[in-house]
Parts: sequence; structure tokens; C-alpha cells
Amino acid sequence: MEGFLSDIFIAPFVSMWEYPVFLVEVLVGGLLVGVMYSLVALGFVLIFKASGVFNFAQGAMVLFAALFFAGFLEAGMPVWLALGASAVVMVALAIVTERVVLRPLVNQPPIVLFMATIGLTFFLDGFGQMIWGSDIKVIDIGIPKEPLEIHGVLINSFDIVAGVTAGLLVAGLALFFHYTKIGRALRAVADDHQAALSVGIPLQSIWVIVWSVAGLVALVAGIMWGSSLGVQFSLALVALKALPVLILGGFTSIPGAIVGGLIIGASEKIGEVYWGPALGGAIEDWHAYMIAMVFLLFRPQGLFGEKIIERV
Amino acid sequence: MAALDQAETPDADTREIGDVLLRVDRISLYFGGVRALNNISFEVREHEILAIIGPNGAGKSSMLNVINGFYHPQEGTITYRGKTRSRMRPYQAAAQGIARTFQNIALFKGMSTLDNIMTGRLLKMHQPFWMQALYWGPAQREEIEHRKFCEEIIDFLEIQHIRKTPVGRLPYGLQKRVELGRALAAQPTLLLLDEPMAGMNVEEKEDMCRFILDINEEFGTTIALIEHDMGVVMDISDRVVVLDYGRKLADGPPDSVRSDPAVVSAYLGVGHD
Repeated sequence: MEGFLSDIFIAPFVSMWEYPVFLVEVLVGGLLVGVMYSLVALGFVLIFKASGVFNFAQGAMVLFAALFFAGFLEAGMPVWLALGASAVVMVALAIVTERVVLRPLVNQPPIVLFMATIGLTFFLDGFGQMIWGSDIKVIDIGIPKEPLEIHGVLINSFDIVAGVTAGLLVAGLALFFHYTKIGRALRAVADDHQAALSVGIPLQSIWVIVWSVAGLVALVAGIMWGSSLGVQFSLALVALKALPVLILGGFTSIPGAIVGGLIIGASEKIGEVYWGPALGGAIEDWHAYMIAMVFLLFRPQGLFGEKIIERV
Repeated sequence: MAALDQAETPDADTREIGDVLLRVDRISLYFGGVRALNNISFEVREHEILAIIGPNGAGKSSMLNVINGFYHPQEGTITYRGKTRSRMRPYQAAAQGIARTFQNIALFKGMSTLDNIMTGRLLKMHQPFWMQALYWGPAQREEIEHRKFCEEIIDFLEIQHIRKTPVGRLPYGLQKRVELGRALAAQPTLLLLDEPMAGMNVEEKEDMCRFILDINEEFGTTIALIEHDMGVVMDISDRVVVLDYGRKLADGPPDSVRSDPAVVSAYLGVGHD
């Protein structure tokens, strides 16, 4: 028992103190994985913000986009063409989703729309694999994978590319949402449908835009995850990791998705490396959900989410 | 407020009621078996203030919702600016100069007063989004122009002090004023106000009356409003349409409506405060 307690409360901190470089490596590695979680979480936030729909299909969209991208590459397209073609596929998906799924369900309670997105998940999983098959595909777009040494700290260069890509994407989205007419319209729709209609915002085109943007974010996430794990069905499950990220960051906050992803990624790696052995290993799989649960107790709206005030 | 002016600026006293701007013709609207509007026809003329009154459930809000396209009537036509349609669409209505406020305030609660009013200008912004995102040349000029316009509205409605406040935090009376500001930002030809003075104290009501009259006189905006306060209605409106159970009871200048026996028994006589 004593040994167990010391493994939990003393040994990890001693080892952090003794090998600070290793700690930094673990931390940086975790943060960069966290960026990848943020990418998936971002797609959820976009759709939730603009339509109040929790899009269960976001994970399936990541897989779907990655399948098409990998498929186009296999078919011999150059990278830029495959990228453009997959982007077109995702936009087309957004248009079809609005027509077939969202439009008939306007003004239905959120749970109905949520169920509809579960249906969409199964459709995307099946349809994507029907076209491209269920074999594991490899995406190789020439991102270097060798470790880099910076000030004595080893960092995977792929993680850096992923981090920079996510950073650019987020900066672009922030500009788009804050300074453009469409962005203002999106925020308006998210806030109040009726009022948005009355100032002349066409709800349906806004939905198409949001789902397209979420589709493009899924494409980027799919390419990044696909390059590191290979394109396979389990990619859709990565999206589940976005749930604790969302709980941490708040469902309505873009910065929240980023910070939440970083916290989950870093704490997951640190937990696994320092506390994993004492708890029998593989705690990475449930650790994130534990953090999310603790968070729910104290800040149910998340770090950056809108505070829910109920007037009585 | 020069920028807010419509084509002509009639002086306060020489305001002339013009041609028919909007005509609803034999409109009927059902919700399942409930007949919310039953064969209603009336006109709104340019530059006038028209009040729609009636007891609760008379179909007043339904009527406004039909005019701006939230509800689609099963029967009848709407003629706006000479074009006849069987239904409006909200987007279409807004694009053609119909702006409105709501009975239970529909503002963007998370946004500031200024941002709310800026959304009223959305249809007037034409620069492509990548230019706006980069805040580049023409897009920058456009943004500044709209911003200036909104500041004028803010001055007009005397809400400078809450320019940056998220509207969810404002008291009710001010929220109503911000909502009016957002509608004005679209430079509407026809302004629909659904109970603009509900829940206000006397002072706030006086302010709101003054704004409505100023909007009408200075910018020549046509106004159709729903209101329960009879004193206010009789004071500010040029014409009154009375609805009851989805039917039209009366239509005419305030004085003649006030003395109409059908109206008295259906509405004014039933112990309204």
C-alpha cells in the first residue's frame, strides 16, 4: 500500500524534478496531440454555435473526408487537386445535408436534430466505405516525421506541422467569424433565429455555410489524423475524444475548443507517463473523461462557454 | 441624421399621407382547426402611422407575421409596393424594406448594442468576405460607413451610454429601444412594431412615443404598430384597424373607431385598464 501511495504522490514529482527535459518533451508532445483534438472539437463547436445542433456525425465527417482524400490520392491525383476535390465533396455534403436532413426538421426540438445526426453518422460511415472500401489507407503528403532537436528537447516534426496547420486554421476562422458579414450573420443566427430572419438573414444558406466550414475543418483534421494513424474506421472514434475537450472548453467557444484540446492532450500524456505505471497503464483511454467529469462538477458551462443563468 | 433620410423629407407639419404602400387582401390564416385570421383586408398608406388593436388572441401579431413572411396565409394576397404575392418570405420582406420588432424582444443577447444594430445593416454590405476578413481598402471604408450610420441611430435613440453593453444585461425598456434601433438600421420603408410600449413605465412610454413620431415625421417611414395602451394609440396613430377573433371590426381614424359601437362592446367596453 505504501509503495502504491508513493507511486502516486511522490515518485512522479521526483522524476519530473530530476529529468526536466523529459517532462518538457512529454508536455510538448501532449500539447501537439491536443491540437489535433482541438481540430475535431472545432467542427462540433462551429455547428453547435450556429444551429444549436450537437452534430454527432462530426467524427464520421472526419473519416469521410479522409477516405475521399486518400482515395483521390490513390487514384493518382496530385495533392493540391485531391485537396480541392475533397473540399468540393465536403461542401456538396453540406448542401445535401441541409436539403435532406435539416430543412425538413426546422423548428423541431434539438434532440430530434441530434438523432438525425446519428443517422447521418451511420450513413457517412457506410457510404464512404462502400465507395472506397474498408482497407486501411495511407495518406502520405510529404510531412516529415523525423524528430527534431530544439535546445536538447526532442520534438516530432509531424506534430509541429499539425500544430502550425491548426493554428493557421483557427486564426482564419477567427477572422472570418469576427470581421465578415457572413460571420456576423452566423453569430446572429446562433443567437436568435427569429430575429436573424427579421433582419434578412437567409437561414438556409447560413446553415450550408456552417456545415461546409465544419466539413472543411473535418477534412483538415482527417488529413492530419489520417497521416499519423492511417485512414481506417477507428478514425471516426477519435471524435469521441473531442467530447471531453468540448466539456472543458465549452460547447460554444472557439478558443475554448483550442485550450480544451491542449489541456486534454497535455494532461493525458503526462498522466500516462507519470501515473500510468502505478495504475496499470493505458490510462490514456479514460483519463480525459475523468477530467471532463470533474470539470462538470465545478464549471458545467466549460472554461469559456456562455454561463447559463436561469431567471425564476 | 441626414443619412437616415429617405428620398424626400417632409417637414413635421406638412407630412402627407401618400399612396397605398401595402395592401392585404382577404387574408385567411389557419393553425389546424383554429382560424387565426379570417378574411382580413386593409391598407397601409405611405408615411402614415397605422395602429392595429384588438383583445388578446385577436390575430394582431399573426397579421404582422403574415406581412413579414413568418406565417404563410392559406388564402388571400399581399400587395407591397405594387407587387402582389400570395405570401412573403422573411428574407424577401427584409430586402424590400420591411423591418420589425417583436412583442417578446428578439435581440442577439450575447452581442453588444452596437453589434445588434450593425446586424440591421447586413443587407447593405456588399464587399466580398475575404476583403472583410482582411479589413482591406473598400471593405474597411464600407465598414466605417455603416458604423457611422449606426452611431447616428444610437445618438437618435439616446443610447450612447450602452453602446458596448451586451444587450442581455440591459433593462427591458432599453432592450426595446435597441431592437427599434436594429430595425431602423435597415432604413425601412415600412416599420412593423409589435407592442413597442408593452411593460414600460410612463416615462419610457413617452420616450418611445416621441421616437415613433420622430421616425415617422423626419424620415417619412411608414409605421404599422400593435399597441394595447389606448391613450397612446389614439394620440399617435393616423388610422386604426380593430381586430377581434380573427375578424376585422373597424377601420378608420381614431375618433370614429373610438365611437364605433361594435368596437366598444368587443374591446374598449370589456374592462380594459
